[in-house]
Amino acid sequence: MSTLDPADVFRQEAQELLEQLEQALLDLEHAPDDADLINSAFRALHTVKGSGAMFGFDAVASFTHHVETAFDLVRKGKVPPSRDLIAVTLAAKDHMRQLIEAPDLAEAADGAVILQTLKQVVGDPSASAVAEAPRELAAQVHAPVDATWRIRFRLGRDAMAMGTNPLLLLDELRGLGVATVVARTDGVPPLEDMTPTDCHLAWDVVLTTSQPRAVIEEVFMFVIDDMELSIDPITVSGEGGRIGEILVDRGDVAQGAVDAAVAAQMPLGTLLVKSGEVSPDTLAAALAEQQHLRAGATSGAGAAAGPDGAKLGGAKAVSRGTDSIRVPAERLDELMDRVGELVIVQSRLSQVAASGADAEVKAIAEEIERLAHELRDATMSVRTVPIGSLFGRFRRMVHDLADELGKRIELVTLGEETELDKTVIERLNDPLIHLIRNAIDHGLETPDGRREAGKPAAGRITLTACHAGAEVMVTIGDDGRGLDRARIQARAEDQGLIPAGAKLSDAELFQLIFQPGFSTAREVTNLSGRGVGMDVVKRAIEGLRGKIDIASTPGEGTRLTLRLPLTLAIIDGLLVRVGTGRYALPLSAVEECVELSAEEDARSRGRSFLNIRGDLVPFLRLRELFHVAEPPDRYQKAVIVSFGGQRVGLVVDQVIGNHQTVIKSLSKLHADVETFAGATILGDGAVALILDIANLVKLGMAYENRFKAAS
Amino acid sequence: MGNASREDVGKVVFDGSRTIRNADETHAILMAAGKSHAVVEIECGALDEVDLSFVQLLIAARNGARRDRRVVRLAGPVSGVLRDALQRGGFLTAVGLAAGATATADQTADHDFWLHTEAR
Repeated sequence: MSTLDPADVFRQEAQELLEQLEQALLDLEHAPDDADLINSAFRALHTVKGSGAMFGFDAVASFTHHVETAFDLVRKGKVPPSRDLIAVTLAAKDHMRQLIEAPDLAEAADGAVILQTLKQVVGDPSASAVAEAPRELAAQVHAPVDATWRIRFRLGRDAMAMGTNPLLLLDELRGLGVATVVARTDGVPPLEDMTPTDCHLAWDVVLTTSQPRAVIEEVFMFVIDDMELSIDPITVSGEGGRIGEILVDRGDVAQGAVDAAVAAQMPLGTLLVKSGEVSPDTLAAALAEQQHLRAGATSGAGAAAGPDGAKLGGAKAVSRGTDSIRVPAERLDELMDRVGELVIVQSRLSQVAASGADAEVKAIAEEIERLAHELRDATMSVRTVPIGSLFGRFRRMVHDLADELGKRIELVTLGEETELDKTVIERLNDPLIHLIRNAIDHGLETPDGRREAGKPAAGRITLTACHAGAEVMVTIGDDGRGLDRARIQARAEDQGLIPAGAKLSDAELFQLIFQPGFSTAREVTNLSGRGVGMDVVKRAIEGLRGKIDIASTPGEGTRLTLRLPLTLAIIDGLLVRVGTGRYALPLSAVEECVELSAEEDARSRGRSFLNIRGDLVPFLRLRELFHVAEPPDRYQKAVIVSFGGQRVGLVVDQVIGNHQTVIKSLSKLHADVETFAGATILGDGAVALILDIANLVKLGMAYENRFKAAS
Repeated sequence: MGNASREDVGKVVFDGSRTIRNADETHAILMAAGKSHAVVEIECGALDEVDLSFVQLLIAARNGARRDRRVVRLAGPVSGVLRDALQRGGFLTAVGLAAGATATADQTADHDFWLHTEAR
């Protein structure tokens, strides 16, 4: 078992935080007043800085500090989140990523330019903060994200007469974090002896905050010259510490007095007050501090940590650890492999148990089957992630490309919650980048071109994901000019891909754009037009056992649909027999099974349509498709499967039943066999082919269309 | 506390604004009441603005009364703007602690004074 390098943990965490930052910034462009977005961006910056310092990424922490300082001004409403500010913060985010992932390649000059620009964008308010930052940062390199401070202050005697309202100071302290405030009244004299406008009050405040000491001091900026103020970090361990420890730590009482009180075995607070060692107010303040720390310890707010950060880091890690853990993807792959093997063995066990007469063995086999099924589902759910995490990455790309090409582009994403195997999602990244770039570069017109075509100036790229049976459909749509059918045909003929004058359907013709080296672009741009990419995209999608469909309408846009299997590993299958061969089909695609009697079969010869509750559903005789020589069973079954809203019946000899299907890829030799999507191993060790439902439905539809055309 | 008879009770009613601006006046009112009566009962329910100078004066009045074995008490538990100021100022924080086992007798007395659970 390998242990995770803390630096790697930080890199992973930072990657997520930078993504969060990027999303917030991009959203802010459209909703500059959204405080949640501003806070989200600020939190991300703040955590990157804090964690970076904690894990020794000093350059990251130092750089991020300046960006955070600037963004703090946004948070406080002093600087608006302008487009310029967002642009420079995005650039800063890229630089932060560089500093984290490849610090050797990060140019310090780039960082300086970004910070200079940032400074200009936010104006003077940040200048002093930026100038002071290195000193402050030096103190914070090992600073925690949160720390607990003991703030004790007594205002000048004439503070209230001079217009200071202590309540406002206390409110401001509360605004910095979680504060427990205790007033000290022991300095208030009897009425007869006091000047009514003098201030005799003092306060003890325990504050847990992520802000540095300087920010706490800022609260007292206007009264600091004439007051008593102490701000000390609290470093009490455990559940907030014992009251004696707190009193000694606060300097309120000597250790000897505490020891004496403890020896007397009476409530310590009572004893110390009785003996005059501490005043009731002092004890109250210490008790309040104890309560504050205990509350912090219980809530996991890290209140028990001192500003050295070590304890806090640990506390946060534990708190996060209860929510989620990071596991290397290869371990999940290994787990999935083992589950696959288990499912195959379980299948064999079930078969052996079914053929015997031992009821107990059968019961055990059923129990193991249930457990294996649950284990499979649990393992698969561990591996799935919402596709939104992938879609989110493209927002920045679209934003940057729009700027680069002078186009206005709106990115719309739908179905982000659709879950897909993590491996599939990762491998979709590059193909989708290619497809989106193509759509932006070739598909969408310039704003002028769009206006001339009577369209809104801003083009629209739509990313959609949805489940369709055992597949996930990911669609990349644009509302651009659409594919130029004539041009594709001409180019394909020029390149000898099709004979001159060949009559191809749209689908067939559009598939030609996936041929290596095929490009119709008139000019080569940074993005596309070199004829490299679409063939790579197709290979990548096929590598995922997926397919690409293209639909395009001139002047209205193009839609590419990637059809991807839900998982690359195990599916619930329905096992059927055709002749002596057994085949599996994804259970999720099965709608129902109906009987096809010999008479009905004979009657439907020449038409091959079933009447399913009034609907005519085309069916395919798999016996014919697979050239089976054995005579058919008397009562054949038609398994009605659906795909993309269309239904087809598959006529088989026998429906055997459910089968946990561990998918094994076919060899390269069988790559062009379209009827089968893969193979699986049955309980008796035999191999069963897995039917490719999408292709069979297409075949059935083609048959239906021919029939309709003929009639 | 206090051993004054019912006849000795002097009532002081504060209303409107009691802040640093009229602290001298508030001081004078409390002083006069303390000199005239063994028990001073202060009515604060009609206040609509207070600051900590007023809170401080009430504490001072109570401190003086304690020293002279007199009684200063509130006519009712604090409410409204006064309670708000006490809470913001951290004067009621110890009250929360009274629920804990370690609250001292004096703390409980403070708590009783403001929230009017003090023994009569």
